[in-house]
Formats: sequence, structure tokens, C-alpha cells
Amino acid sequence: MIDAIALALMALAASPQDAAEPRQGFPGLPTGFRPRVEIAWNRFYDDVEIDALMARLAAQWPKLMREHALGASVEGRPLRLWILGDEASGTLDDKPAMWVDGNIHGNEVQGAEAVVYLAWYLLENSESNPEVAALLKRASFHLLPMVNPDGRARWFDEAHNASSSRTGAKPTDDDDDGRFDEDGPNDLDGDGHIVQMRKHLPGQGTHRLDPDDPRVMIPVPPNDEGRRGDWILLGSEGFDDDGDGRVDEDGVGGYDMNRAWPSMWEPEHVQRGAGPYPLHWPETRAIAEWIVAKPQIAAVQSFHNMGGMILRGPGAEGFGSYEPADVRVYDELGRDGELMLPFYRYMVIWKDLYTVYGGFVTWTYEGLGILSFTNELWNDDLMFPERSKVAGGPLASGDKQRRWFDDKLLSGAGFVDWRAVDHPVHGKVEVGGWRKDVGRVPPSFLIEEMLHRNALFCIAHAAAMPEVSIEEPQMLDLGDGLKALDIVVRNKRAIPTRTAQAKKHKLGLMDTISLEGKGVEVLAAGVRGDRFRPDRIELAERDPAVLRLEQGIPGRGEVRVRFYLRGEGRRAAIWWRGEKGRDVRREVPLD
Amino acid sequence: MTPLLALLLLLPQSAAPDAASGALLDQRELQAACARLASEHPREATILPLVETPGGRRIDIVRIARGELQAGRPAVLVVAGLDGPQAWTSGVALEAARGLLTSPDAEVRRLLAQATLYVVPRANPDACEARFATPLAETRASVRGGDDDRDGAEGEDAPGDVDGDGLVLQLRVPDPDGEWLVDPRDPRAMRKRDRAKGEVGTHRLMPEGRDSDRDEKTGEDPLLDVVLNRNFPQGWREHALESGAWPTSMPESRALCDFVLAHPEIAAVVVYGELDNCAERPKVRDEWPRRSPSPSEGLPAADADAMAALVKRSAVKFSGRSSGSDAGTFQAWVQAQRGLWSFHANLWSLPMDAEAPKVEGAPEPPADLAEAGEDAKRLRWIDREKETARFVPWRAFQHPDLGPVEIGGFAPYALVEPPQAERARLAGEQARFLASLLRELPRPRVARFAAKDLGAGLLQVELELRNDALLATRSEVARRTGGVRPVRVRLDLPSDATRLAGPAEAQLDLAGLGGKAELTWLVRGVDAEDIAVEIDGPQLTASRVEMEEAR
Repeated sequence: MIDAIALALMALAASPQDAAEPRQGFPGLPTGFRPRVEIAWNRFYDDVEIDALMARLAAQWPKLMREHALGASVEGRPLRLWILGDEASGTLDDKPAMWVDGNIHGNEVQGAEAVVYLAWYLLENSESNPEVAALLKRASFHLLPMVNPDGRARWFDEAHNASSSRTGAKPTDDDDDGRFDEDGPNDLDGDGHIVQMRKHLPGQGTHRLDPDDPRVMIPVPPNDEGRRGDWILLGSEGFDDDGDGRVDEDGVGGYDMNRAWPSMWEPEHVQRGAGPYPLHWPETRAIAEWIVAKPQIAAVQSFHNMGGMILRGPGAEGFGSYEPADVRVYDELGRDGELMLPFYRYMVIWKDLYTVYGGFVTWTYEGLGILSFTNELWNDDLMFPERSKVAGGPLASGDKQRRWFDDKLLSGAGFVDWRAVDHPVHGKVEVGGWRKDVGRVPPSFLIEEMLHRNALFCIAHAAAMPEVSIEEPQMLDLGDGLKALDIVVRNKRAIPTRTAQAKKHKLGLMDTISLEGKGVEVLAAGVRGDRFRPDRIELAERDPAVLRLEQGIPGRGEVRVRFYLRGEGRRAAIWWRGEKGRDVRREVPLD
Repeated sequence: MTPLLALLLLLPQSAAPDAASGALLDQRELQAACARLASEHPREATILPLVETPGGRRIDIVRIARGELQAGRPAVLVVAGLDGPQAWTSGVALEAARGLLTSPDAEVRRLLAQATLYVVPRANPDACEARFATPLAETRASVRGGDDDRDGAEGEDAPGDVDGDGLVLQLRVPDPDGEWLVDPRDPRAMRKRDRAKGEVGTHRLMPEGRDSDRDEKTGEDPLLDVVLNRNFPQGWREHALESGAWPTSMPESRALCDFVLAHPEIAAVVVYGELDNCAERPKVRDEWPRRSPSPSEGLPAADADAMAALVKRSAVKFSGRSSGSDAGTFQAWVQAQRGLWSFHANLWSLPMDAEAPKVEGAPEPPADLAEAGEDAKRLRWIDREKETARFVPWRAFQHPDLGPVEIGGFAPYALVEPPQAERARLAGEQARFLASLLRELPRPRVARFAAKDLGAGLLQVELELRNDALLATRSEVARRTGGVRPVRVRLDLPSDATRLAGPAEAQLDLAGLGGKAELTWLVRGVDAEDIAVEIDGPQLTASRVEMEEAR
């Protein structure tokens, strides 16, 4: 500790002109670099602050980042989309793009910081890191830090727990009584927290207090020789506002914007929270309209909390399996992700987690054919090391672990200690429990690690978006003025220009490989199936000068085509055009 | 004017546009007819604009209601002109509404004072307007969708009028590989070859049009693909061009859904379109797994029975059949997801049961009618009714892309649009059906509300609600989906009284035909005449009933 303080003092003492100029960029190394925009990554920001952080970045890098007003939330908060990319090297709409969003569930707040961190990392390293610079030249990022700013704002500003304020804010009649949002939780003691209620009933209860720590409630085991506890738990803090005999059954909103997307959408009675029809809420519709109108989007990432998961679809068993060729790419990215995110597992939503109808990333893949992941940020393995979980040990239960680390590492600030209040039905009760920022989000000192690893996972995904090139053409003179021109079109990245899903359902425009040249007539052309046997060729039925490829260019692979041509023209241009990669042109001398 | 176009004008399009005759109305005439209805009945008929279509046309709702429009007044929604080929149903819906408004029947007048009728005479004006365009082509889609034939060009090979007669008909091309042959019963009629009988095809049939993209197909890539009545959530078929980008991606479908959601007082929906669940008792499905995707096909038996009983009571004869699937339709959404009482009527299709006309001296007609192909049967009706404009005889034509072909076949709309007299008759029938439906809307009432003195100031309060109408307060589907909320009852006591037993608030469903629900409370500290209940429901005007009144 002394050494650390001494070092810090020395650093402070050194005047700026003495120190070597800090190097540009901020790749993740702790010395010798200084970011241009300092952002404290050890706390969370409310909705206004998130927008302000993005605006600061845009002001620092105006040529690489601009804002687009995507729409507004139910309560009128702006949905600010931020588009990152180097426009000087070409119009962004012509380049593949990655969509990244966070915080569709209002309480899953760290998704927004993850998006801001990604923007910050890309921009800070845009000059110094050749790979980032190249990525920003050949691709772009569409970043929406908060899909649900209303839910976020309410989670920050109002009394909540870790799981509440998941919904958006459109008034909804959850309890079928014709009234809207009239019976939500109640902060009985006005301390800003919605925690648990317990009541002291000596000898008649279901719980007793832990002898080591009276904050902990221990359930009385059923075989405890007929002894009973002294306490009962009464659930979450609240009462029956609307006098219908039920407690907290109709709070703000009451729906789930991640059950609202068109692919495998199911109505409310099958999928709770789905709403009356897909994209019912303005936030979801604004996003869908944008993504559908931007066919260059070739990768999607959505940030949620929690559990430490890298999730892909299908969301429901009824879908069947994803296309094997696409699964290979998913697996490659997902397994790399498990290494980059050591406490995360790569999983299939319905099989490894639970069934989700109408999820966002399932729509972007199943409906639009885009490789898409959801990351569930934060896993408390990071807070409680494996060895604290020894069965029978003093910290065997999750509650004890959480408490022990809360005491040792957070000065016990995560727990709202029990205190007595009056309840309109239950009389004297006690309220206490975990604050909203315990359990689903990391403590301050572990935020940056979570953000960094996830941002770099996104960058790896973005780097896998298609990058197409045309190899040196080979020409054969077949005599009598007939020539055969062999072209190889290559994609050096893992994601194909058209996923197998896009091919199967004929989504979007096909890729084309075309030959254009004055005085050149293409007599026949086709895609070659074998580099050694020219007769294995799938001929175009019509218009051989423009070959259409429903299958696109495979990931880390190539498509070979042959044009048979004649004519006096001495030059021609070969074009590859596709929605999910930059168009490529190559001049060919025909002499 | 070509002779064919002159023939076409025999179709009722030439009639003076007047809803009173069930006439066929274009958008402008329809709006004028709605406005006229509203001005003739200023206190009962009101026009509510719903939405503007992508084609710039306005969809209107005509609200028919007499008296005060208090919340919870039950309503029926009537939707017509939803399927492009059925533009004519708009006139029928509007005329049925007029029939109710002008009815001298005191009961009908009373029904319109109790319930509201929302009439959407034309839910799909963009597609319906094709009925009034030249050349005339039967049109379902109204929005661009994509590249049907995956040749890289969108809408480059649409059906069209190649011979300039003003009609988009069919091309008949001799082709030994074709799937069609000339019906031996009637050389005008084509029927599909029967492989099981070893029949060999002689022709290909294609929509009239050019082969602009030289792929030896005509009309395979129309400019417009998305069909409004495939753009709703229930059973929506993803990735089909006609379905649209997502359910409710069209302003029309979204506005219709939003209207239904914003008007929970709508208890029943009547749709005049290509689906039919009125002619026969709706299919029954026994399995209703929870938490798994539900097909729209089939209803719980109680719902099917109630609907069949209602149709029977109305004494209106429905004879239509569903044409096409209900996937992605408005009807499927209101019925399977919202659980509304939902009556779908395909009011007319060209009859196939006409006898062949007897001609003196002619050989006996084929004994077995069933042997004739469907088109031959339709032609018998056309011949009998002298509706000759409905079929255009095949005519040789030198096609610029395909060489020698024949053009002809059934005229656009000929199979789906009834003659004018029939339309007027249907409008009258539907006025009667709507009156029956209004009569059978659920109407819960307090049958008994009493207190028994148990002594020592303790009262036992008993409430009985009954529904005498045929329809239950919620369909079984609505109970399962939650698409309609239940009836709500709340005991209202003075503040110093105590409720010792019984619910603070209860949610109830009442079956039809005398279905009842009973509630019991124990209270003290109150006199019986100071006890009241509050009752409300989505299709029930909120009321407070005091025990004194109930006696």
C-alpha cells in the first residue's frame, strides 16, 4: 500500500513538461496512455448523462460520430442513435454496419454503459490502433445505448429493486380492472428503496434469524421437530393501492419490449409481456423501421443483464435449428467470446436458458438473416470466487456470500438494514433487504472490466463482417474471338455476405458479380463448382453479364465464376455488389 | 370503345352510385355516400376518420348510435372492403347500416339507443380502387413487397392488358407439358388435368401480360405484393412477400388493430370478406395448450355453439365458404387473440349449382353434373342468368413475347361480385343480421341484491347477476387470452362499516342465456339501504346499484 501511495505522489509531483507525451489511444494498457475524453467507468449514469457522454464523444470526434434522432419513447425521451464510422473513406451506407444496443429492459442498466464504452474505445483508438482504424474505414456502428430510456430513468429516479422497472412506461391494465398502473410497489418508509417486508410472530413464523447475523432470514426446515420460527416474510414492499384485495399487481407499464419483435411473436397469453401486436411500442417500432431500412447491417449485439451469457437463438424449440452454415459462424464467435469473457457461457436461448417468443436478436437473425447475439452482462462469480462456495462451508449459501462480500468490500452499503414501519394491513412490520444496485449489476470497482471485455467482443464480431475482394482475373483465349475470363471473388472474414438464413428465405437483395465493358459481349457465364473442371458450372439462365448469387460469398471463402465473352473491347470492369459489404470493382485488360 | 369493354359495362359498375341500391362505389362515391348518410341522420351517424392509406386515401368509420355515448355502451364493429376483390361489400355494409337507421321497427330503434355500431365500409381502399381502374384487374395487394422471381428486378413483370381490351384476363397457351385441358363439357371452360385418371394437359394458363423479363412466364413479378389482410398478427406468415415486413407494418392494419384496442366496448365484430364462419357451425377444437403457440383454427365448443345459435336465430341464410387461409387476417386476430365474438361472412360467390339450360333439340346435357369442372359449372350459371359480361370468350392473339396464344376467361371480379339485385337483397339481410346481433349482445343485470339480518348487526349480503342475452360476457377464447376483461363488481360500504367476509372486488364472467354469478358478503355497522355495489365492464356502462333500488 505504501508503495502505491508513494508512486501516486511521485506521479503527481512530476510536472507535465517533464513527462514524456502520453501516447495516443487507450488500448487497455495502464501506463503511457491517456484518453482524450476521460470518463469514470466506475459508476452508472442516468439517461440524460448517457446522452451527454455520447455527445461529448461526438464533439471530440465529429468526423467519426454523428447523431440520428430515431424517435421518442412513450414518455417523450429521445431515442438517440449514434453512428460511428469514417465517412471520409466512403459513404457509411455502402459499408457493412453493426447494430449495438442496450437497456431494452429499464433495470438492466449497464447495457447503456457498455455501448458508451464501445464508442469510447473505438474513438480513442481510431488513430493509434491500425485494426480499429481499418474497421472504422471499412465498416460502421449503429449504437443505441438505451432502447428504454423511460425504464432507465424510473429505475434511477424512483424507488425500485434490482428487477423492477424492466418495462416501458405505457400505461397498461395488468389486472384487468379497467384502470391503468394504479397499484404499484410502495416505498413504505420513503427511503428510496423497494425491499422486503417481514413481520415478527414469535413461535408462529416460517423463518428465524441467523444466529451469526440477524439480518439474514433462515427458513425453518420442515423436519425441525415441530419447532416454528419467529418471523414471516410478506414479500416486496407495498400495499393494496386500489383496494381490490391484491398487492402491487398493476404498476407502471407491465410489458416486455424484448418479447415484441415479429419473428415467432406470440400473443400475451402465450408470451407474457408481448403486447397486443408486434412492435406495439414506439421504441420497438422506431428500431425495426430503422434496421429494415438499413440492409447493410450485418451484425447485431444487444446488451442485457445478468448471468454471464452470450446468447443466440432460436428462442423457442418450435423454430427447429438454425442453418448449419450460420451455426458454424455463431460457434466461432461465441466460443472466442467465452475466452474473452471468462465468466460467460455461450448458449442457445430456448435450450440453455428459457423460451422467449418474439425476442429482438431472434428477429434480427430469423427475420432479417443477421448474425446476432445477446450478452447477459455480469455474473457474480466475479464477486464471489469459486472457493467461497464450498458446500457446508461458512459461505455456502448465496445470501451469505453476498452479505460477507458486501460487508468486506462495500462497507455493508448494499444492504438496507431492517427497520420498523406501519403497514395498512399487516400492522407493525420491518422492511429491509438488498438495494437495487446489488445482484444484477457489478459493484463500482468491477464495472470497467465488464465493459471492456464486452466492447472487445463486439469489435471482434464487427471485424468478422464481410470484406470482399476480387482476385487477379485469369483469361484464356479459346480462339475464334472467344475468351474465357475466370474470376475469384473472396471474402476474407468469417461472416458470409449472405447468411444461410438469408439465402433460404430469399431475404434482401442477392449479391451480383457482373462484367461491364464497352465492346464486350458476354455470351454465357456461371458459377464454377470446381476449380479444375471448367464444365462444372452453373450457367446463368438469362443476362449472363450479371450473375446473381442467392448464396452470396461464404465466410472465409470464395466464389469462382467464368464469363465467356467476345468483342473488340480492350478493357472491362468486374464488379461485386452486395448489401452487406462494400462494392468492389476490378479492372481487367482483355488484350 | 371495344366491344369487350362495352360488355363489361353490363356489370353493375354502370349503375348510378347510390348506396341505397347496394351500388358499387368508388372511393369518392363511397365518401359521398357516407357523408350523405351522416347528413340525413345527423344525430345518429357520425364519420370518424381512421387513417390515411399509403395511396393517400382516407379510411372512415361511420358510427351509428342513438342517444348518449356513455363509456361501456356495447358496440359492434362491421368491417367491409377489406379484401381487394370485394369492393362491393362496402355498399352492402353501408346500406345495411342505413337499413337499421331507417327501420320503423321499434325494437331496432331501441337497440340503436343501447348499443353502438361502428361501420368501416372500406378498410382497404387502395386495393379496392383497382375495381374502378382501367385496365381492370382483380387486385389484392396494395404495397410493394419485393422481387417475386428473384431475378434482381422488382415488379418488372406484372400482369397487364396486352390486347388493349381494357381487361386483364388469362393467357391460354397450347403446351403438351401444361397442367390444364379444355373441359369436354364446355369448350370455354378449362380444368386441371387429373393425373390419377391419366389425363394429359394441353395448355398452360397464365395471367394476361407481357413477358418483360423474358423468363417465359407472364405476370410473375407484379409491382405490388403486400396484401392488407395478410398483415395481421395471428398466423402471420413470415417471409412471404404478401405478408409485409411485420404484422401491422401497414398503416391500415395497425389503425384497425389500434381502433379495436382503443374501443374495449366492441363486443362483436362482423367482417364481410373472403372468410366465412357463419354458413356452418364454426369448427371446434378441444385442445388448448397453455403457453404454446395457438393455431387460429377452431373454437371452444361453447363459443361455436353460441355463434351457430345466433346465426340461426337471425334467420339470415349464409351460404358462403371461406376462400383461402385465415393466416395473417384481421378476422383471425380478432377471433383467436382478442377473443371477440367474431362473425365472418363471405356473402357471395358465383354459384356452381345451376342446371344447364335446356335447349330444344339439343342432345341431353351430361347426366352427372359433378363430372363437369368447376369453371363449366360457373358458366352454366352465367348462361342461365345471361350475365355474359362475366366471361370473355377465348380469342386468338399474336403475343409479342410468346407467339400465338389465346386471351379470354372469366372477367376480373366476375366470380366474386354479385349482380346488383343480389347486393340489394344481401344488404337487407345483413341489416336483419346486425339487428339480431345487437339484440344478443351480453347485458348483465342485477337479478337480486338483498341483505339477510343475522342478528347483532351482522348482515349477509347477496348479489346475483344474470345475463339473458345469447352471448356470454366473454367468449371462452377471451377468457383464455385475456383479450376482453371480465365484469367487475365492487361492494360499496359507508366508511364506518366493516366487511367481514367476501371479496373487496370480484371479477366475473356470465355465460349466455341466463348465465348467472353470485356473490356473498358479511358486513356489519351498516343499514341494508346504505349498501351498494358498483358494476362495470368493458361492454357494460358503469353503474352503482343501491340495495333499496334492487328490491
